[in-house]
Amino acid sequence: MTVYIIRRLLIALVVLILVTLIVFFVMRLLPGDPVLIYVAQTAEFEEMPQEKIEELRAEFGLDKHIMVQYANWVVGVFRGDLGTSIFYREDVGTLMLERFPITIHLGVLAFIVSAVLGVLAGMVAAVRRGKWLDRIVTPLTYVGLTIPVFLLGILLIYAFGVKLGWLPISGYTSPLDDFWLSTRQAIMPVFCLAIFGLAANARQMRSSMLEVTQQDYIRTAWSKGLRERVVVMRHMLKNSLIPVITLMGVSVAILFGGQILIERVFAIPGVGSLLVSSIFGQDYVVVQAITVIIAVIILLVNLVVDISYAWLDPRIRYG
Amino acid sequence: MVEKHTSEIAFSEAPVRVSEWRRFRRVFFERKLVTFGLVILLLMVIAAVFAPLLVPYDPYQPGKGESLLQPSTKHLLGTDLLGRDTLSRLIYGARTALMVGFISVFTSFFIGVPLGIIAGYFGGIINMVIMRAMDALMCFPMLLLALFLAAVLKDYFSGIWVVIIALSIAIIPGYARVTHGVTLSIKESDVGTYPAQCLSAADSADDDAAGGFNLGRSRAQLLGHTRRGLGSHGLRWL
Repeated sequence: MTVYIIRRLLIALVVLILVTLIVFFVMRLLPGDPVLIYVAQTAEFEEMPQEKIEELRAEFGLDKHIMVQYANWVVGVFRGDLGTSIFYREDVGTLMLERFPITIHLGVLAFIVSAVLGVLAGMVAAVRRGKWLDRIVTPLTYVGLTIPVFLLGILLIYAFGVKLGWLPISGYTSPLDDFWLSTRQAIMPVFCLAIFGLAANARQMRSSMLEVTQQDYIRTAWSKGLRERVVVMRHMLKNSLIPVITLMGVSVAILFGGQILIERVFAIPGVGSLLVSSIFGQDYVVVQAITVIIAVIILLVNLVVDISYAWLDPRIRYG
Repeated sequence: MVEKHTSEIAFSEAPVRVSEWRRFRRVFFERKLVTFGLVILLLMVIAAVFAPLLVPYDPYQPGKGESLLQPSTKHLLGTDLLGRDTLSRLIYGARTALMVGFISVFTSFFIGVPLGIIAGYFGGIINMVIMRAMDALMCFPMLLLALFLAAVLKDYFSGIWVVIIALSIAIIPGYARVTHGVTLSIKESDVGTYPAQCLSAADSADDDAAGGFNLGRSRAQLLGHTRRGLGSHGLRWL
């Protein structure tokens, strides 16, 4: 197993380098010039002399050959230096430290909510298939899968923020500064982020559990006279988790996508909004940095998911 | 002896396809919610197909002095900021939405699922290459992918096809990964291991044709079982 993990980590490094290559060249192949965009947004475009623009270009190393630029950037990344943002004129590392904790905080909360509640709801629906609980939970998962996240966000803001006044309608506060306010602000965005994963996990859990229920070893467990709790928790749960765990891994990538919308709706200064504005502003280094960090997270999550297969089903082995 | 013989014939000659279809129909239409959903979907498809015949107004034609009207008998769902009829715009919008949704989901399904099965079934280097490629694709921001494709493909495809292609590519890894996980677990279950034993027995005893048949069968079974795991994963992308 240790050998497998080490090998996977090495391969993950190769994948990561592949991702850096793609992002780097894709950003530079897109039409548009970051320096011109920056200049147009800050100073009077007409008055900026050509030499000044060239100077800026040189300052960000954009005048060098593209392979040299790539090499410089990658070497910097491995040293922990993510470069300087063209638009913010700020060290990207600092920028990431400002933005990423926010996104991670909300993302982790949403992930926990969708994982725990989703698996529970799916289990309950499967064990009580056709009963009233299943008849309530399963249709609700359809709602969760189909409702557009931003629409849900706006509806929630209108109901709980504007009409009832229970929750603050937008913004973000670090839980370290003011835990109570931070939690209250996080409830609606986390719910919006979690709802899709929650419903997806519940549906996957339900169908996967129904499949397991028909297996011979479950019949054996029942006929041994085990109590329902033991059969469900010990024999059914682990065996039905494999597709659900995979889905959770995939949903981490979807979470990052969802954050882009949610951060817009709730005016949260996270990575999602930064990524969008940086892509459109052609702020190369910021986009590259965000992609690399998200890539590291996703690769690690996928590795954990693949390892968990062997834990959930010991018959699966890795060579 | 005779009885056994007949039962074997009955088994091998049973019209599997028909009974499977019948079973599907029964299970499918037994559920009111599913039937209800199908009816809604069919209505949407009909509305989309016959959009030009159904719409009361031109969805692109701004109405003078009719900005942001409330729903009325004249405009059933009111009008937007430019005075365009909301109902007509919705009906035309269904065309785009259905087309983008269906084509991209089916395309990525038929690429992602086989990739996941191949990776899980064969394992080893094939598994590594396919699944790590999926990882790389998953790490890539979708917006950037879409912009890049739009820039590269703009001379060859119109806007909506760029959207479809970008979406298709972006959701392939999800299918591949879920299928891969289920395939791994089924490969080790009785269904997965038993045909494999059949295969080795057939290989040693008889000709290659039987082996090939068994391999095909085991794959078909794997797919059949994997399919169940995927059922709920599939349509959510619509």
